[in-house]
Amino acid sequence: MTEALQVDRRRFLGGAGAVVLTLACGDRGIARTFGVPEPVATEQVFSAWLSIDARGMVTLVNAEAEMGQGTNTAMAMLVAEELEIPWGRITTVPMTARPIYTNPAFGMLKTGASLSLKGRYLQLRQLGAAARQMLVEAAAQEWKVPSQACKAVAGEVHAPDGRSMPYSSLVAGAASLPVPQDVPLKPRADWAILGKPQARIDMADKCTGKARYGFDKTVLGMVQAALVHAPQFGARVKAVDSKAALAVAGVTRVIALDHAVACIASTSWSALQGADALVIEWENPDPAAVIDDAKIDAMLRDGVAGKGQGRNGLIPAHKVGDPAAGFAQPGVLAVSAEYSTPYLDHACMEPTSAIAHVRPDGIDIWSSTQSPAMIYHAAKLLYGFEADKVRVHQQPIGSSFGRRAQIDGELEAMVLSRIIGGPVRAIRSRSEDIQHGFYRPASRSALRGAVKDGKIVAWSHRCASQSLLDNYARYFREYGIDLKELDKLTGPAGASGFNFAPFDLMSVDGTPSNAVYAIPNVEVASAKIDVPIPTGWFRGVGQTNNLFATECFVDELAYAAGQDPLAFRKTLLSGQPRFLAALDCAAREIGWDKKAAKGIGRGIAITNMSDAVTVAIVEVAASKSGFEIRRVVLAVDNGIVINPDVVEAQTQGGFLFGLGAALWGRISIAEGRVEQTGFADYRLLTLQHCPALTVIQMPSDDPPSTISEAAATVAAPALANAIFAANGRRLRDLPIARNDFECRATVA
Amino acid sequence: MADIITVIVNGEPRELRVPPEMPLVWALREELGLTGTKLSCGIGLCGACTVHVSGKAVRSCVTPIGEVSGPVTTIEGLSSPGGLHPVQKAWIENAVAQCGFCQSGFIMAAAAMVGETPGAQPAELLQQMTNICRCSTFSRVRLAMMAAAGHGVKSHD
Ligand code: FES
Ligand code: FES
Repeated sequence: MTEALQVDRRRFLGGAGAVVLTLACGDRGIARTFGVPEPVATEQVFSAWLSIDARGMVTLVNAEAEMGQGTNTAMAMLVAEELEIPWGRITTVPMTARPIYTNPAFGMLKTGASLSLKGRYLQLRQLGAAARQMLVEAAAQEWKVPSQACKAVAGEVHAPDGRSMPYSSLVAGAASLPVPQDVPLKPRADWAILGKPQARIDMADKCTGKARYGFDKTVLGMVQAALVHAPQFGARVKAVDSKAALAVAGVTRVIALDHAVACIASTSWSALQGADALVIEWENPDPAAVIDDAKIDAMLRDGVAGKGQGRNGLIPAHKVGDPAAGFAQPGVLAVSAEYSTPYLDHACMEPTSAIAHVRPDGIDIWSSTQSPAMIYHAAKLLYGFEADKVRVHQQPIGSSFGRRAQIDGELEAMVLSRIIGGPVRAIRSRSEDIQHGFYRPASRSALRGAVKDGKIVAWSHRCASQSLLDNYARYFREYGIDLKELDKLTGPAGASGFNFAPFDLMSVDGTPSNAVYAIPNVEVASAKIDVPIPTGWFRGVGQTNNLFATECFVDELAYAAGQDPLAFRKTLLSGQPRFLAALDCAAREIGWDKKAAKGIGRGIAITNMSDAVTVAIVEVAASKSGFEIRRVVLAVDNGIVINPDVVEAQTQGGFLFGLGAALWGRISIAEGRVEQTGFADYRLLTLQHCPALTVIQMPSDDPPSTISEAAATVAAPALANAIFAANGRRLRDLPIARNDFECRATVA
Repeated sequence: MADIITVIVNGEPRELRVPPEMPLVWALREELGLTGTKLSCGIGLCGACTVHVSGKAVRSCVTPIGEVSGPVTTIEGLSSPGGLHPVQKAWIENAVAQCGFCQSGFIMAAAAMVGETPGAQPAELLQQMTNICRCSTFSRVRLAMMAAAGHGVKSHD
């Protein structure tokens, strides 16, 4: 029997009766995403990963970017558990990137795709275990006793006769020993640190202003370069009048690149002022090729209708059973509907910036990046430096959501540094940032479904959008970097994220091609549209588009079948115990079985994104003109949990991120450019619209999986389903604010 | 040539040779090296750059340094020698921060609110908190604000 575990923060923060997941579990193999071999990265335990100071404080190099998802803490926990040191005796430093730090699940040195824990879960425990064994061995040699007789306890090695030595005095000896392989890892039942809520090791710094991010970094002698990019996609610099810019105090130089102009100054303020004063004439693309929302919408409609030509035609992606026969059965009730989603910007809190110093003998880069390997490989293709001559100094990131997986800012900083001959910090204003993002593409889904005897018997899902991947790599071409070459350098096929196939698998994520429902006849097809809008990874990626359509349409079919959406889903999930348990748990918590009062509605959405189980139930009070969100319950099964406190925080944050986007998020395109100029016209969530939110963590012995990404994808469909349940209005186009329907504040 | 502008920052008089229209946030960050104050939207909307001027919360990205008329407190100067400010304590106890980039601004805004209107009702406080957090830490912001207000943040005791 599965029993849900509700994490109660006060209980574990108060220290009394810590909440512990106690299911016994062996270590299962972690799913390899890109098929690379088992991680063995422990060769350089002490030289590359760990140091122990005279007071016994352990410092771990964090090879994952810390961007709020808690890798500083999680990575330290993995090591501390096996190293046998008390929690609190370990800290982390960001890495200077090196190939040995490669994430085994990713196949390259990059943070993303919810792979930090998947990739490091075994690797860092192995590392901690090897280090412990080496310290024990060093002590045994010192005492001339067999190492098997010695024991590591709380940062010391104990001899059988009661003598002990602290790790700090053993490090020098241990570091020269061979690294033991295959040291057995602790069984989960013996975990003292893992699986229990641990305070984030960087929490105090983040609450006292001490935490430093890429945006805060300074390098001796650096100048500031504020960039102005071509407003229209694909436009080039034609002429620059820099008189007014150069008249701004502190501005020293104006440099025109092909796609942008940089204003160089001694301070950020001067550089930004100067950039504002630039008068730039652009060579705009052919007016016939200039796109806008109406054209994009027409292309998406053509896409789902199968009217796209050549590479824009519908490509079958997935087929189960005989969909045509499924629809043709006698007595089926067929339903069809179309859904749409808009372009979205990451709107990271930390503005995009990067520092580069290109010298004749090598390069240093300091940046808040998710893709350090991409930077050093691109630098090799740009300037011929081997990876070890390009030092990428990872900086903590002030939120990213996929945006900083792009290295556009780093490339600009490198090019400018090379021209200037010294360190350069490339910055941009918020309006530049929002107008030159890598957007979650807009999409359209056309669905058809057939129900019979209370069940879905056939499902057809046609979706259309820009490829998430085709456009992401366009900016490399600005610098003459060959994508195929870059792809070869980055690692195993697929790791780079470049797409050379006609089809982009991510474009069908969240359709029933990877949904968990048992539907006998399914067809999924996808059409891509080609417009010159930069697109890229986004928290929840393809799921953020298609799951909205899928989960809303499941509800539409439930109502068509005359069934309760919860019972309807449970029938479709009969072979999925993890989902059934989470659904029951969330339903119980929100009181699903009690009939809702008039005007109150509840809506469900679920996803299996990244092997996790995520269930959301939203409760709203809605009238014809508006609504308020009363409550949200999330039940999640993220596999083995490393830090329940962070899981709770990430689940809350992920859901609210998705909620803000569902309510107001929309990047609009007019005359071939982004219309939004900042947070004033790209509305973001604030406290006033945050519902009360309960997170239930299900116990699990599956491998660790995603957390916040999945939570971000369920917000929109659960909300739209709740609104329908409350007032009978089916909202099929996001954001919700576009439907003349106001979300009222929940905090009043 | 800019005139010398004198401001008191975290209790110390500081002399700056910057144009008076330079936003306070840049003066703090680049002239004084106080990078705990962040910049995000740059137009007074998100609150990431919040500092106190004469004890009141001010968005420093839209406050020209020449118009600063009272002593400035930044996140670096919020705690007293005796320890952390009660709002900071509540923030740490409730594990609010994720990436943390917005959190200096939240804490400064909350500290001014609870300090200014002791005994303010929860709804009033929550209504006033208009800062943006892209990690969307709002559930815990709410807990921490209530904890801080409940503990009666009236003085640095
Ligand atoms: S940066 Fe000042 S309010 Fe946003
Ligand atoms: S904690 Fe990351 S933006 Fe608020």
